[in-house]
Order: sequence, then structure tokens, then C-alpha cells
Amino acid sequence: MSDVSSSPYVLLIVEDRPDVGAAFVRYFKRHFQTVLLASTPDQAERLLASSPSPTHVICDYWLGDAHPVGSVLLPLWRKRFASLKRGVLVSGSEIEEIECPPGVDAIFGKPADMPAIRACLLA
Amino acid sequence: MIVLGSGSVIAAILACGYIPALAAISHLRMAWVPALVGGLGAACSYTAFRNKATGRVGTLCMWMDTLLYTTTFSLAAVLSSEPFSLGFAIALTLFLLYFPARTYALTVPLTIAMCGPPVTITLLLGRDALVSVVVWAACTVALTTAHRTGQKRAHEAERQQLIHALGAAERVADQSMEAALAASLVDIGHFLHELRNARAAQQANLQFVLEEGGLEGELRKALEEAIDAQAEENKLVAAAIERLRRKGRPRSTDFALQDVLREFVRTHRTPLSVTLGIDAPAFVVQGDPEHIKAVLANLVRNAEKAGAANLKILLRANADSKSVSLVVQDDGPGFDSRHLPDLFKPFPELGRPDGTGLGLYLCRRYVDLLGGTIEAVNRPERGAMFRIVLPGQLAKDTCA
Repeated sequence: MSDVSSSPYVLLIVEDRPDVGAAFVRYFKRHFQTVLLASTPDQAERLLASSPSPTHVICDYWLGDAHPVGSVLLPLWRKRFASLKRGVLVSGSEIEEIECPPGVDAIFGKPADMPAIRACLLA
Repeated sequence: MIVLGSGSVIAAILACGYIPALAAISHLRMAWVPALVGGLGAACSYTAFRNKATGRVGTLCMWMDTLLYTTTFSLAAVLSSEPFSLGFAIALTLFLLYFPARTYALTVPLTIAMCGPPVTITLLLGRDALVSVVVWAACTVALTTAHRTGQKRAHEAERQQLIHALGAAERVADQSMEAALAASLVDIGHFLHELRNARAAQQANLQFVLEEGGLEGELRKALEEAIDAQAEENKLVAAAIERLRRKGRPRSTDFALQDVLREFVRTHRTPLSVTLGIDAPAFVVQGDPEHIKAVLANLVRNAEKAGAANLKILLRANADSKSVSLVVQDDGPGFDSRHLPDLFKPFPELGRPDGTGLGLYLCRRYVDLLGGTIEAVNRPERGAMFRIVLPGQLAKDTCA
């Protein structure tokens, strides 16, 4: 039922909508040893700097007017936090046409294909 | 300036030399008086010219030169004998009609300058009734002409104001349209964002239950069907959003040009005999099909008013296959060649008196909105011809 033991990774989900964040946590908890949830970039950075260090990140593209978009944050975090192995963007906005910036392994539109995200992260 | 100055000096010397002789021939008494007044008039003209006829001095000199020239001709007319007196009276008439009356609008100072000296001089010194009648008639016609000049000027000023206002209105309309479009797109964007997030949570939870719920048999099947139904629903929502987007951007509607032309010919009511000739493959144009109909309706109406009996609408393929030519030609009298340069401008100066002055301008505007061009020419055989080039693409089923 769960493959936690086979993927001893720490997943950080950065999502400003609580219902989406909770659903993602619920889904990925079975596939990652630890799943952390941050609703703002500041919270995410605190979690990235703390232990256990996240190895994977799912970042929402649009995190509100006051914050940079995910395509800006994710490349920065990949540079600053060496523990991050993979990172994907999920977006409810119209960004399907853009190419993946460096540091972003894939972009998924919402509603997301959860098995596809999981496969991409664990590839 | 040197040439002008030298020319003036030479002219003055010649005048001084010939005045006595001319005076003797025409029996002009006191010849130096009108000559002197005329010389003063020339000096005023020169000063007005130097001041570009603007400012207090320039304006005063322009008024003075008219006053002095009319005095000169009037004096010459009353101080000479027939037939020269009549000749000077006619010269005054020509001067009044071809210079001040056609140049200036009628005002009290101009009336004084044009008619004051002739009337006063003929009343006080005139001895020849015919000369006096010619001079007064000249004054009357000059006043009427100057009044018309003033009306024309006012009309021109009004026309310029309208053109300016129309330009401003166009800019406001464009900006409003862009703002409305931007607002619509922002609204759609917000709606999409919220919708996708709500569905993302729903889909993640359903997937979670499917993978981790340990459901079997009918329960699992029901859940799988629910997930499939959700995927189908996602497609429907995406299609609805696409339709919504298209409504927000009316200019980007693709339409089959041939269909629009056929519909126009079938439904438009006109006393003209309208024929449609299509010599192009099925062609798709981006924009508002109503603009094509509006342009055609306008051209048909113009042909009607011009007295044409037949009108042809021809669609021809262009070599580049990225555009087509829509030709509208009639068998009316065609255009006056003087009208052609300003044909598509708003309120053209030489437009038809019964027209609004906006018809062809709007045609050009609509064609602009379709990304095309429009030109007008006279047909060699007779009649007017409009050629509209519209960008677009071959319809998919006609592509190789």
C-alpha cells in the first residue's frame, strides 16, 4: 500500500491554498518518509534550512500578490539548498506555454495528475 | 531678399519713368496721387510679407495695403477718362475679387478697406455713372465673396475640430476596448485559477482514496468511474473556458469570407443589380464579419447615390495565398480625380454634399481592423473600383 521505505525522502509542498496543500500532503505522505507543508515562501525557507532537510519540493506557481512566483523561487532554492534533488512546479495559472527554467524539473497544470507528479519526483 | 529689394527699386524707377507717359495716354489727372498711394500700398505689402502677415504690425499692414490699393484704383478710375476709367474700375473689381475677398473673412475693418475708398471716392469725385456702377457692383460682389470665404473658413475650422475629435474618440475607443479586453482576461484568469485549485484538491483526494483506500470490487470501480468522470468534466470545463476566451476577443474570430459575401449578396437590399464572382479557394479571415458587411453596404450605397446600375463583388486569390483581393466595382460615373487623395479621410473637403463625410472613412477603419488595406481607382472603361486586400489563410480543407 505504501512505498515509504523505498523512498526515504523528505518532500516539501509549498502551497498557499490550505485545501490543496492538505490533499497533496495526504496523497504524498504514503510515498515520502516525511512530507512538510509551507503556505508562504518564508515558511518554506525556514523548513528548507531546518532538519530534516527536504530532498524534493512541489511548489505552487502563484503564491499570492506579495510573493515571488514559483518559477523564480524554485531555481533560487535549488541553488541555496544542496539537499534538494528535484523540484516541480504546479500551477493553476496560464503558464503551460513557458519552458522549464533551470532548477525546475517539470511543470504540471492543475488539476494535477498525481501519479505523474509522483513519478517525476521519484524518477 | 536682395533680388526682391533690387526688383522693387527697378520697378519703382520704371514706374516713375512711365507714370507721366501713362498718365498722358489715359488722360489721368493728378497721376502722382494714385501712384503715391499705390507705392505706399506696396510698402505695406512688403512689411506684411516681412512680418509673415502675423502680429500687430503684419495684420495692420495687410489691412492697410488693401485700403491703399482700393484707393489707388478708385482714384485712377475717377481721375481718368473713358475708356481708361472703366478699365481702372474693372481692375479694381478684379483686385477685390481675386485678392482680399477670396483671402479674408468678412469683418468690419475688411469692409472698410475694400469698400470704403471706392464708395467714398466715387461719391465725392465720380463723374461717370457707368464707372460708379461698376465700382459699387464690385464692392457688393466682394462683400458677398468675403462672407462666403468666412463661411468656408468656419466650416474648415469645424471640419478640423471634428477630425481632431474623431481622432480622440478613436483613441478613447481603442483604449477602452483594450482595457475591457484586459479586464475580461484578468477576470477569466482569476476564475481559472480558483477553479483549477478547487479541482486540484478534489482530484488529489480522489487519487489518494483510490491508491490508499484498499477499495475493491464495486467500490473501487465506482471510484475509478468518478475519477474518469472528473477527467471528462475537466475537458468540458477547458472547452467552455476556450469559448469564453473567444467571446472576450471578438476580433480574433475566424470566419469564412466566401460565406459572408454570399450572405451579404443574398440579404442586402438594393436597387442595384449586384453580382458576386468568387475566383479564390475557401479563405478564412480573422476579425469581425460584420465589418466586411458594413464595408460592402457602404460601397453599395455609394454606388447607388452615384447613379450606378450594376455592381460586381469579385473575390480573387492572391499569389501569396496569405491574402485575397476583394474588388467592388460599379458602372457609375467614377470618381472626380480631385477627390481621390482624400477619399478615405473623415469629412473630405470635396465630399458629396448629401453625405455624412464618414462612410469611406469608416470603410477604411473597418478594413484596418481586419488587418487589410483599401484603395480606390477609376476603371478605364467607366465606373469606380475599390480593391480591398484582406489577410488570412486558406481554409483547412482546401490546404494541400
